[in-house]
Amino acid sequence: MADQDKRDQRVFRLSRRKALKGLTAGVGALALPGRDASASVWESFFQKNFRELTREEIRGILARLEKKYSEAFGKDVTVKATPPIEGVLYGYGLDLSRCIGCRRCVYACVDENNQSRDPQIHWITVLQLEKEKGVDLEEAQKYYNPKEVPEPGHFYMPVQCQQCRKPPCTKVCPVQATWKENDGIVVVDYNWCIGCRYCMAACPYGARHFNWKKPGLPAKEMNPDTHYLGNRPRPVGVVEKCTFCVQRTREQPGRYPACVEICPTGTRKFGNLLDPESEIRYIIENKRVFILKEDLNTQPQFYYFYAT
Amino acid sequence: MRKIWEFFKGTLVLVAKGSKAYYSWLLFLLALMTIGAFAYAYQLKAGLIATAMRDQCSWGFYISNFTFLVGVAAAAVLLVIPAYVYNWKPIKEIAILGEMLAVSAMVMCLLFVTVDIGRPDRFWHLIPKIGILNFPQSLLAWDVVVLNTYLFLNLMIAVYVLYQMYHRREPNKAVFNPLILFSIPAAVSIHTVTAFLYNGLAARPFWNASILAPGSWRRPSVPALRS
Repeated sequence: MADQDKRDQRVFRLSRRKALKGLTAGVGALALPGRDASASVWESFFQKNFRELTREEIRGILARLEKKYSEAFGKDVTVKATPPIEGVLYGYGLDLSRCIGCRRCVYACVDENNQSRDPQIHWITVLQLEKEKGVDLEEAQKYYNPKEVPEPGHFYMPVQCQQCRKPPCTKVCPVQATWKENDGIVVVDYNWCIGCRYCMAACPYGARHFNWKKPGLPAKEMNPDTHYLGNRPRPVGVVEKCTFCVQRTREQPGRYPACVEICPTGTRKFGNLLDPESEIRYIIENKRVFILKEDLNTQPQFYYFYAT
Repeated sequence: MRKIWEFFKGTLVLVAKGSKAYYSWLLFLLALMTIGAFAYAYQLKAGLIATAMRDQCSWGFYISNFTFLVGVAAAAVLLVIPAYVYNWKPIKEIAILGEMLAVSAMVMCLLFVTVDIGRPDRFWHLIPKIGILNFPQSLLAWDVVVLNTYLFLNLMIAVYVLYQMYHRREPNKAVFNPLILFSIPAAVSIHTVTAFLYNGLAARPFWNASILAPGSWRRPSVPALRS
């Protein structure tokens, strides 16, 4: 079943809740009409969880956000809500024998996904490990900063959201502000998240990041091609994470995530796990593959491998 | 109705009367509360960055205080059981103090959680039917339910007993006993809050282990991705 159908069905099933919500919203609007409060402030305050919205409502919200962001950043910002493509389950491969630890992926991700520059938020963390010890997270160095990489005797392991098949982060969210979509991407509704950060405690990969402060995003550097569940500008006090560049990968024709595109050594591979001819399937079937923290049964869609 | 009004007015008068030492103590507490209010106003304006917590350590003093106060609140059960299950007379008089301590600890718990969340304006997302309470899958949702139940229960018991005492009457057993007996499993269930909140997470195996302290002593700098 397509995501949109499911969404519509859910909306139909929850109609009583919707009615109650409408009632509360109505009473609230009557009780709290600020004279100079613009209508859009209240609209965003009473906005429902993304998965309970109808197509009409989503269209209205996207238009409202586009207007708001275009004004704030002084350029034409588009906000999409492209649903998952049928028959696609994204998978990611990362070749540990190739990564040189240059962190170009980290900053390409920041540029593409409109992360805060001040304070810096990085969705990708590159760990420096010792060749002698192998993948031993106890010995991992996050803040390595030499003149030149790679350093002798070391190898590098970038970690980002593993898009688990059994994500612990979505389970613990007390308000269902985060969920796994049909194409395997775990997303956050930034307008529904209450910022309790339980998902960050539950994530074994440190893949979730919090907006401790109003994100510092210079208008010049802002990427105007955005997705509602992905790289649109975030408000303060909500959690965000890697979405495999949902604004790129869900398009038809799609584009690779920014980190795959930028990598100078071809370390990063991306494709459809359901397509037997895809590169990622070839890697899983023919290379030495492992997943991170396998013992936790999170079943990532992110595969580390050694090509050589 | 008039009696209830009398009770609230009377207790307010009683609370406002006291010696110099009592007043200075109240003033001192009020001063602390004012500082707290200003600090929270600053945090609302600046964001949670004011707390100096970061992604690597995203839960701090707020949550540890919260779990500590849950323990304090649940301790009331240690007074309630001997007083009302075993009918031990001498402790009955202080059992009500235990209940009131539980109420104040509970209020502090909920306030600590409130100041810890990034978007307190969206607290209504937690209310079932209006928002979405992810119960029972999220253990935080379980916490919200049991904490509020326990608070409500203890508030009812304490106010009811005080009300009867104010009018110099014995509490009505038919009303009182079911509530107090229900508060015992409720106290046990709030004890699960601390345990579930920390130990429900496979990602953090060290959080509920006796090795936590020596582990961090051995390696003071926290390596990446360590639990």
